[in-house]
Amino acid sequence: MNKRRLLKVAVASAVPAAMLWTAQTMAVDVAISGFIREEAAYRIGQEPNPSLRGSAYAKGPQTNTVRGNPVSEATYAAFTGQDVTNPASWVLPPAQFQKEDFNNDERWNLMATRAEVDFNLKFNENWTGFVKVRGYYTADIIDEYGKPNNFKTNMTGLNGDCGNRLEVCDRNYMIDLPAAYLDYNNGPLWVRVGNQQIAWGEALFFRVADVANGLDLRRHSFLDYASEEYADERTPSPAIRMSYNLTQQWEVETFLQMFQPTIHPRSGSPYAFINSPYQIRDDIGFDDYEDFVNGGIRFNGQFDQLGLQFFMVSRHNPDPVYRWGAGGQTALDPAFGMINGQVFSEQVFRASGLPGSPVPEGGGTYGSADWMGGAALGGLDGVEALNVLGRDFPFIGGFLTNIAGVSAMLDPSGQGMLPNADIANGIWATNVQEALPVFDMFFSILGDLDADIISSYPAENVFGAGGNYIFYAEPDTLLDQLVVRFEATYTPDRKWTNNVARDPLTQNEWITALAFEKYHRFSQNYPATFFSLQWMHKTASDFVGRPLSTIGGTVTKRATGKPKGWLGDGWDGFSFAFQQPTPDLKWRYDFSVLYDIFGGYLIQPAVRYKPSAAWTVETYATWMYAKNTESVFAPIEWTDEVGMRVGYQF
Amino acid sequence: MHIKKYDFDYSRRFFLEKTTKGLMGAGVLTSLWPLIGNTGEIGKAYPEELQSLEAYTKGKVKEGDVITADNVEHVKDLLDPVAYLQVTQMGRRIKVVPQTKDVTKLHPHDFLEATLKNQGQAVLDANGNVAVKDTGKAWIGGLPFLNPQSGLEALANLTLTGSHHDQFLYAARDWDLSAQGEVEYAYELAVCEKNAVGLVSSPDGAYLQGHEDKLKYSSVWFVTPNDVKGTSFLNIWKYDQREFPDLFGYLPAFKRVRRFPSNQRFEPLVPGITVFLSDFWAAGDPMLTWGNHKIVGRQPMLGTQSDAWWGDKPNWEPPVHGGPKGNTFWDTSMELLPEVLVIEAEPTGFPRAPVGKKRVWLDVRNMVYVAYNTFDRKGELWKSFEAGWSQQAKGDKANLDSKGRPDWGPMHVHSYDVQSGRMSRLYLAEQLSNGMKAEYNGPPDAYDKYLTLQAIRRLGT
Repeated sequence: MNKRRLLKVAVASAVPAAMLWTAQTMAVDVAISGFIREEAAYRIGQEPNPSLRGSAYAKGPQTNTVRGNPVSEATYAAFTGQDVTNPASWVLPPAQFQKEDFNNDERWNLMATRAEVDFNLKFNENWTGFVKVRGYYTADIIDEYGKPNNFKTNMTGLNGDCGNRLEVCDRNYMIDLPAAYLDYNNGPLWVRVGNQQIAWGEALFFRVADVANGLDLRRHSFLDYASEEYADERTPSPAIRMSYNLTQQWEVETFLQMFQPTIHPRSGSPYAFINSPYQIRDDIGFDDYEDFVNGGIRFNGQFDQLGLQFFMVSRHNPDPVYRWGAGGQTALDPAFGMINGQVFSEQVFRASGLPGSPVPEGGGTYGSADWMGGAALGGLDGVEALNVLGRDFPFIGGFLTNIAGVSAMLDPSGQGMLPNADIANGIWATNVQEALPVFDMFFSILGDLDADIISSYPAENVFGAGGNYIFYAEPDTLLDQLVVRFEATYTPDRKWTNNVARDPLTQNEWITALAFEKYHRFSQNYPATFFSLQWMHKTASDFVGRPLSTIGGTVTKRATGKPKGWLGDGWDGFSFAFQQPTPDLKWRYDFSVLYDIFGGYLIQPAVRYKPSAAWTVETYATWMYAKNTESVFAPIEWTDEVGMRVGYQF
Repeated sequence: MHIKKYDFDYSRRFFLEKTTKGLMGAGVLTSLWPLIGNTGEIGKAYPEELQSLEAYTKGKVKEGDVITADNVEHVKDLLDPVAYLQVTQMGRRIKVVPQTKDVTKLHPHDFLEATLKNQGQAVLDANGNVAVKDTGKAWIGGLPFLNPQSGLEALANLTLTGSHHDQFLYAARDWDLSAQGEVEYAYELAVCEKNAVGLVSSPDGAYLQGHEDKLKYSSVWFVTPNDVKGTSFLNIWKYDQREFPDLFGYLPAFKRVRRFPSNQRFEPLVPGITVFLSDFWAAGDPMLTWGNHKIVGRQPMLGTQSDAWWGDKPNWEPPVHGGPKGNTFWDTSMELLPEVLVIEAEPTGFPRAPVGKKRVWLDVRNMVYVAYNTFDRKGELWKSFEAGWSQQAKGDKANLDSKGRPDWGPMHVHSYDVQSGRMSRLYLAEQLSNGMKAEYNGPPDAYDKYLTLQAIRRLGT
């Protein structure tokens, strides 16, 4: 660990260390509790995760569009140093790429043991503390190219190789402190210092005002028990949080928090949703942001039936914006020489299986169909992504320009493979028909490819407001104690992944949520049923943050975006949930639905059984459907599963 | 004192006559509360048969005895039906202790003073809320109705002054047992309540400034076990008893405070427990959300009004006995209560409530409930929520209030579901496992510390 990282970890560890020291040196009331839980999920869907094993999206023979087109075949011959004047002598690439199928049809998505131990500390009437230690071990239930890495992130942590500052991990376990803070309370003042989660807003599952923390999706993605919302996922971070009750009605709350980004499932882990040939380099990305501090302020007011909040957060968005990184594969530098002032290793791609590539041969993206399909699942425009590569990496730009020029020369019509290129403006391919042979040219020359994508976390200001109102009416009527909640945020110049370009996509975004909640008793014999109906609207991106302008592609169609659904401009989603406990609360039946207006849904029925103080058993099934790649569920549609958790608490 | 001119059944006939004629003053030989005001004693208000169980049962059961299945028939009419069932069928034993005649041992000092000072000043306004006669303002402290003229007035005593303190911080420990006597669930929870009106110990007067439209602030938060730890709720009660409280909750899964409806009050708070929100103080709901309040009886009774504090035991935990595994009941002492009011009411504001009726027995000496039964919609007996009250003094041990006097309050509860056989037994401990100590009329910053949205967000973990 270098000195700089050591200093940061020391700062982050200061609060737990101080608590430990204090607990040892003075009289402190310490209460310890915790639980251990087995968690398992079994896939019941037919398809495995397409983001595993070298893009299982495409497998078996894939058409090589270089073949069958005299111009592209001639261009291939030219680029491979063959005699372009003698087609009979050409050694052409195979007419089909053979995409290896590494799928082992493993059925277990999750097989994990979780242990959490809580320490509640009371120093005196003003000072208290809380530390939660979380340990999570996952069995090796899949085997991609060797044992999978589930947790190592190389961002931060006590050894510098994990995702959170107060974390130690290896590829199949992580131990962290999701909470380690001191509370100071004196009259209307409350200060919380230490590693903590901060959740604002009242909408459930729809994150509108919940902007302080990102999500750590390395364990069970966000697919665990829906009614627990993001309690396990929300990433903690060292922070100072202060609240002051200004009046009986109004409270002001503010926080300063060390920047902690969202952590996506690792490539090659069961719930990965980024195509496995593309390595998430949030270790590189985080280095540029780990010294930043996010801050926010909000005012909460409560006036009988009406609750209000107004807030502003200045932050680096924890949800990453991805761009391509240089591949760094020097083994092929001599073969390609200098193009446009760059060598091969300075551009994006690596030839999988060759020295310098972490992916074995056959594990990379192979063929234009594979490329386009993977891009579509990721919410990217596969065609524009080609132009991005050309613009951001002179080596590739030069290569594309060469393809355009050479193919035009070899084309009797003079048009070549990229007849509409506007090279001065960084546009080479303008449609999928032009792009496919170019991609296949790459794959024909280099074989299957892999690459790095680097995260960045642009700054933004989020302005928001929200309210809740409780209706009163005649007992037993629909409106009686109906709770209505509304939240809205506006973020000017928000940034998103722009087909993995260096320059992100920028757009203003409104996010709103309207929620109705009610407890209604249907009979005298059963407790009230809880109902929740929510509507979320986003103007520029979908539920998972994919920009609307780059979704909707297919293998044969570039993404043209989906700016509106049947409700109008923007993305809309609806959630509906109910919970029905039995009279003694030993059993609880849950049902949750998330409907994506672009054509998809998630359904999760669940049962919770608590036979005693010590034991809890929870089981649930999750089904997803995506009509096409416009749906937020497209990348994870494969995740039909049955889950079970058996916990013992002490 | 022996008052021989009254035969044995005099008091029985007297109570029957008072009930049927609607005569509502407490006391048999003389009016109780003027006597209390003058002497602090109750003895002269009741004949001998109402001052000792030995006299009442003609020596069959006497103070110092233990009521068991063998002798319970002699006191059957002095127990509520559930307590009788528990003694006859479940092995419950009840120790008989002498009647508390010193009324200062039945109230906190400040509350008794306010009760005497403010007697006669309470009326029900046009809406049914308690108001100060002549001014129409919110109640100013102590028991508002010493001689209730209606069931509503009787229950107003509970609703407005349940704890007889301006504020409290309870450290409650709960065990929930199956019909087979197995402890299936156990919880620790803290409860803090602060009155906004009717203050009796505040140097600033009867009202919490700026909160006069509220009745009280009440929060509860769970300390153990792990899966409910940090769950906390804040109830803000309006003074207008036609309105439901505002309810806010912090659930650990959500990591934030959210507003909740407050009209579902007939459900367990956590798995296994038999206690409903509606049960607290035998008047857990705004009193005007119930209807058909009526006084249905007046009688002597056995109830726990002393000897319920176990300050000589670690963390004040009472011993247990009875039931299939010998652990279903707290060791309990009861005394002969000379006069209780029997009140009934129906949850008219809750059309689908599983409860059809509640019956509450109020000791006229301090207007606390000594027994409380609910009945289901078919009229079948459902639950009992029996509280034990006591001064916090035992031998040379005492828990003193800020003025050096033994404090007073509820000490334990038996919440028993007759239909399922499940028992929840709770007691108020000295402190919880997280170090939180019980406290009356403190801490001074209880409002900020426990009774705001900020507070329950901080208490949640």
